[in-house]
Formats: sequence, structure tokens, C-alpha cells
Amino acid sequence: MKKWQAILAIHNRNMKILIRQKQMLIQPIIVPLVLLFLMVVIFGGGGDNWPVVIADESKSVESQALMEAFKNSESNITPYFDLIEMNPYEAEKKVSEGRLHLFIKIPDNFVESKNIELKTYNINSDAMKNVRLRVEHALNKYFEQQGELKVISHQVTEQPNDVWRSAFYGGSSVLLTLFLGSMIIAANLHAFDHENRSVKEIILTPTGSITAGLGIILTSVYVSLIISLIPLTLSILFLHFDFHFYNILLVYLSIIPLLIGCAGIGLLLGACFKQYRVLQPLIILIAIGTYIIGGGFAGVNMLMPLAREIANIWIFSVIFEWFNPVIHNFAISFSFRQYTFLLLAGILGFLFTFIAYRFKLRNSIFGGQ
Amino acid sequence: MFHSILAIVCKDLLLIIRKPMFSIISLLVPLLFIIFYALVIHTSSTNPIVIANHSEGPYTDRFIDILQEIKSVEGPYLEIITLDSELAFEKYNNRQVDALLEIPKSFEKNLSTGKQSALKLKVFNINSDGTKNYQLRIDHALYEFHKSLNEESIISTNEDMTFVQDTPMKSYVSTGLLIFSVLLTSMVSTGTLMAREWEERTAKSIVLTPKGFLPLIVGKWVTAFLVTVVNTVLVLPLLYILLGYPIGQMTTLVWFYLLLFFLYGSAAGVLLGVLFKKTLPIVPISVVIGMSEFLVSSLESYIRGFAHGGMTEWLWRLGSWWPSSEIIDTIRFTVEGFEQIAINWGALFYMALWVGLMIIIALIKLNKQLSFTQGQ
Repeated sequence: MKKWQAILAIHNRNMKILIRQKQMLIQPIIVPLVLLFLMVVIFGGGGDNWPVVIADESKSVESQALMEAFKNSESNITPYFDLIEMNPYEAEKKVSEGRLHLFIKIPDNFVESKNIELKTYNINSDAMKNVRLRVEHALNKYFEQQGELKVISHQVTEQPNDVWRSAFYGGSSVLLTLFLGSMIIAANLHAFDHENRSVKEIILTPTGSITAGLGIILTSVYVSLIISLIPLTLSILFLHFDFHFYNILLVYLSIIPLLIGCAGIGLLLGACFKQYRVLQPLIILIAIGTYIIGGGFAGVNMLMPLAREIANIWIFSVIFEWFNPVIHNFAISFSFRQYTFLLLAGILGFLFTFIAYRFKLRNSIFGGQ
Repeated sequence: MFHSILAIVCKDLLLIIRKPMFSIISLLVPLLFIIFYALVIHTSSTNPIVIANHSEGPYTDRFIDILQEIKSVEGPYLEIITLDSELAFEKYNNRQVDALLEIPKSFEKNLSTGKQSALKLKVFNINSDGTKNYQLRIDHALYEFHKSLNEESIISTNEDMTFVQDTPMKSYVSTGLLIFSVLLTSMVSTGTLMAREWEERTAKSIVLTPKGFLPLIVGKWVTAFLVTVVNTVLVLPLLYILLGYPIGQMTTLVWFYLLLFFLYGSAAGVLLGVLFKKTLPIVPISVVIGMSEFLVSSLESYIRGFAHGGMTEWLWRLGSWWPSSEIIDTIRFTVEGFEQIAINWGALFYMALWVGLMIIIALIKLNKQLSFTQGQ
């Protein structure tokens, strides 16, 4: 009973520290949110429509059919082109300045020549992949309408609707907040005792110093769950994120042992490095690195072979690879193997806490602070 | 003055030697970020797929050849993991790959008899970007296939490109990664060196010095400069090995611009250090500034073309007003050999003004922070 009271007392103290030292809370909130905002705005959170100017100088039946093909070209979420009204001279100028990537001219001799002219601002291969392949998609659509396409492709998707890229980033941001939050809050709270010279009091407590570690785990998991509601709410409100109550509940309950494991790692790192200035870059790097290579930015299956191999070894990638499909309703439960792993992660979290307090902390004080 | 600066530098270097962990981690962060980004950048060009081929014959062979050959300047569009039908379904069903293209048994016969044939593209659509990428790549293969069947029947395209060739995405982002590394290292180093004076309770000694604050700031800059130089020496070969960055084409002016970015990062670091007096918020804020510079300023010339309306246009306008985007493009075009470098006086002046402004604010703030009524 006394142990529980000690754990709760430490938890209450930690909550007061976090409220007073807001910098500790800002890190796990702001890093995922800034990453989410930049990813969504830069990498096409608004959909797949690419701005383009098309000038039809042919004005023929064929050219109008081609225009229709451009207008009707679409991905599973939005049209492929955002047709902008502009005179050809101005459009060419905008392309030269890089304000547009593509200007398409259907020349007056289109019917005879069967040729269209493209002016491109080929700043990099990614932009050009996006514009050239879209044009070919529209041309294929035109052939199909004309009955000339000998081979067509039918898309069969796993779920009726695609998850918007912005929603995918939103889900990843929730997971990043949980993962980064539990680890960095635990590490910072541990470092707080060092930086504020209260380690000796922790060691001298009659209930055992481990209770301080358990109190930190409780705070880290609790606070990371709370702050993850910020990206979740923003994703639901602005990022086409479909809210599946059962799936989200399952994710939030199942991820708790993993968060205990992350908090345990945070405590171990805190015990090893002791200072904020060493801990923070290390943990932020682990978190952003996992986000990039472990399935937060794009699924691991989409990466190059070497990256896939690394992601398979990098244990933290399970956070995005296992939980994102459940968040987006591509899976409605975890397998027995996954539950076993999650449970093991929780046990390891307690083990790391024990190591951090039993060996590292006790050995760190020889005299006064 | 010189002796004061030297004393500050020696003190900080001694601290780095005695407690090297922070410096090692500061050096590792940009290096590892570059490695991570280098590993993920290939998703923009190459997407893994499995093909369940049930057909045999010359048309099938030609189509599969096209699927294997389609590429951008950066690399093949598709990484075909297998052509074996059974293995393809096994990998797709086990979620080892996100897309499966099924070529039906009737493919060859239909094409021989002039009938239309339909391929089935199965996609794990958890990210609309992936679905779009597979659809467009298969469409590209179909376009090329029809061109190979009868070139005269298709609509051809004549392309007038602004640059002689497309810059591969990995080369395009390399300059941004280099700037990210210089900025982050200089900002974190200077910021934490400044904040240390308060954390280690030596700020009072600074007040008591008759030399003023300038030796302190210059001393911190010199130490941060040495750390940034070490970092850049490590980052450049990594960029060359992983992303083929043409370091041989870095002219004197490119180095000058890098120095300018160091001053920018250091000025921001001084300001952060003086404002917060603690290392706790400096690292995450520096990461956020560094990431924003990388994603907004260094990609500005890319974003510009599709920033029409909404938040993207707003963000692009913000990025285009910032001096760093123009300078990054100048560095990029120079090392890629697109145009002769010329000093961009406007951006240079703007950047210098910004650095000066941050230093003035830091000095004013420093003057206020370093007034003690009691002990530290």
C-alpha cells in the first residue's frame, strides 16, 4: 500500500513539474505537430490535383475530347489536374519562372499531327514524374474513350476508400507523439532529479528508489496518451481522418505496454546520460528516424531493399507498421504474436526501470550533490 | 580582446574534451538524419511490386520488358520483386508488398486477336500516395506498350524543358541536407554553449569582466565554428557516398554561402541561449527550425510550381520571402552545373541583415539577463 502511495506521490510531483516546466511538455507536442504540418502542406495533403494550364488551339472535336480526358483524369481521392485559366503567353512565363511545372498546348494541327506540346519546369525528377505520368494517364484515358486502348488496368483496392495521405500522416503523428512523448518525458523527468540535485532524496526514500521510476512511468504513459489527442483531433478535423472508435480504443489500450517499454528506455537513457542536452537530441533523433524509416512517412514496404532490411531489424518500426493498419481500419485486431511482443515490451520497460534505479542511480552518488 | 576570446574558446573546448558525449551526439544527429533521408528518398522514384504472370508469348515478354525498363533519371520506376504467380500472391497476402499486378492468361491471346485485355492491379491502399504512384506507373507502362505496338496510333508529346535535364531528387535534396546540417550544428552548439553559462552558474563571472559581452559571443562562435567544421567534414563524404553529391564542384562562393549559413545558425543559437538560459528547450526548437528550413526553404523551388491556393501557397510565400531559399537554389544550381554562380547581392544583404538583427536582439537581451541582485 505504501509503495502505491509513493508511486502516486511521485506521479503527482511529476505532474506539477510538467505544468511548471512547460518546456518538458512542449517537445513531445511540438515536434510531431510541426512535422505533421510540414509533411501535409508540402507533400500534398490537399490531394493529388496538380496545377496545370492547358491551351486548346485546335478547337476540334478530337481536342475537346482530349480536354475532357484531362478534366476527368482522377486518382482515388481527387482529380489529377487542377486546371488553371491563363493565357498561353503568361503560362509559358510562369513555367519559366517555376511558378508552374507544366503547360500543355494542343496545337491547331492536332488532328493531323496527333501531337501535343509540353513546356515543363523540370526542377527535379519527382516533380517531373508527377506531371509526365499524369499526362500519360490522361492520354491513356483518351485512347480508352476512343476504343483504341488494347490493354487496360483495373484497380482492386484492399479497402473501398483510400486513406488520404494527410490522414496517414495524421495517424503517424499520433503514434509519434505517443512514442516520443513516453520516452522523452521519462528521460527528462529522470534528468530533472540530476539537474536539480534531488537524486539523493530519491535514493534515501524508505520505500525504495524504484518507486520513483514507477511513478515516472505512470506519468509518462498518462501524459503521452493525453497529448496524443491533439494530433488525433486535428487529423479528424482537418486531414480527412476517418475516426473508427473501436480501432482507436484498441490502439490506445494495446499500445500501453509498448509505451511502458519506451518510458523504460527513456529512464535508462536518463540514467546513463543524466543531462537534458545529451538526452534530447538522442531521443528526438530516435523518434524522427523511426518516423522516416519505420513506416511513419511511408509504409516500410514502399522503401528500398536496404531500408526494408534496416526497418525489419529496427524494433521501433513495429509502432507504425502494426498500429497504422488498425488506426485506419485495415485490421481490426492484433495477432497473438503481436500481443506477446507488446506484453514483452511492457515487461522490458519495468526491467529497464529496475536497472536504471537499482544500479545506475545508486552508483552515481558518492558524496554530497 | 583577442585574449578574452581565446580564453572563452579554450574553456569551451576543454569542456567538450572532458564531457564529449554532447558533442558526439550533436555530430551524430545530422549524420544519422542524412542516412535516414537517403534511405527513404528512393520512394519518390522506385516502388516495389510483385507480378503474377499467367501469360506467355511475345506480347507478354514485351510488356514485362517495359515494366522492367521504365525509369526516371533517378532510377527504375518499379522494383519487380517476383514474376512468379504463386510467390507474388503469397507476398501480397502476407503484406510483404503493397501492390500486385496480375497479367491474365488471356493476355497473349486477346492481343493476338485484336481484343482488349484487362490487367488487375491489387493495391493495399493505406496511403493514397502509394495507390496513385502505382496507378501512374502502370499507366506509363501501358502508354509505352501501346507506343511499341503502333507508334503512329498514339498521341505523342514534344517537351520543352527549362533545364537541360531533370535533377534527380536525391541530388536536389542533398544541398538542403547540407544546409540543415550546418544550421542545426551551429545553432545547437552556440545555443547550448551560451545556456551553459547560466546552467553551470558562471554567468556572474561574465558580468564582472571588464571586456564586455562581445568576446563572449565571438568566443562561442569560434568554438561552434570548429564543431561545425568537423561536422561538415563528416557530412560531405556521406552525402557523396549516399546521394552522389558533387562535392568537387563546390566553388569558393559556395563555401562562402555555407559560412553565411553558419553565421545565421550561430546568431539564432545565441538568441535562443540568451532567451531561454537553459538547454532544455534549445534542442527541440533548433530541430524545428532546422527541419523547417530543410522542408520549406530548401524545397521552395519545388513547392513553387504546385503552391496554388490553400496552406501550401501560404507556406510557399513565407518560404520565398525568406533569404535562405534563394541562396540554397544558387548553391544547388552551381554544384549541379546548371549556371555560373554569381553573388546574389539581394539575398546576401537580406541574410546579413537578419543575422545582424538577431545579434542585436541577443545583445539587448543579454544585457538585461546579466544583471544580478543576488547570487545565481
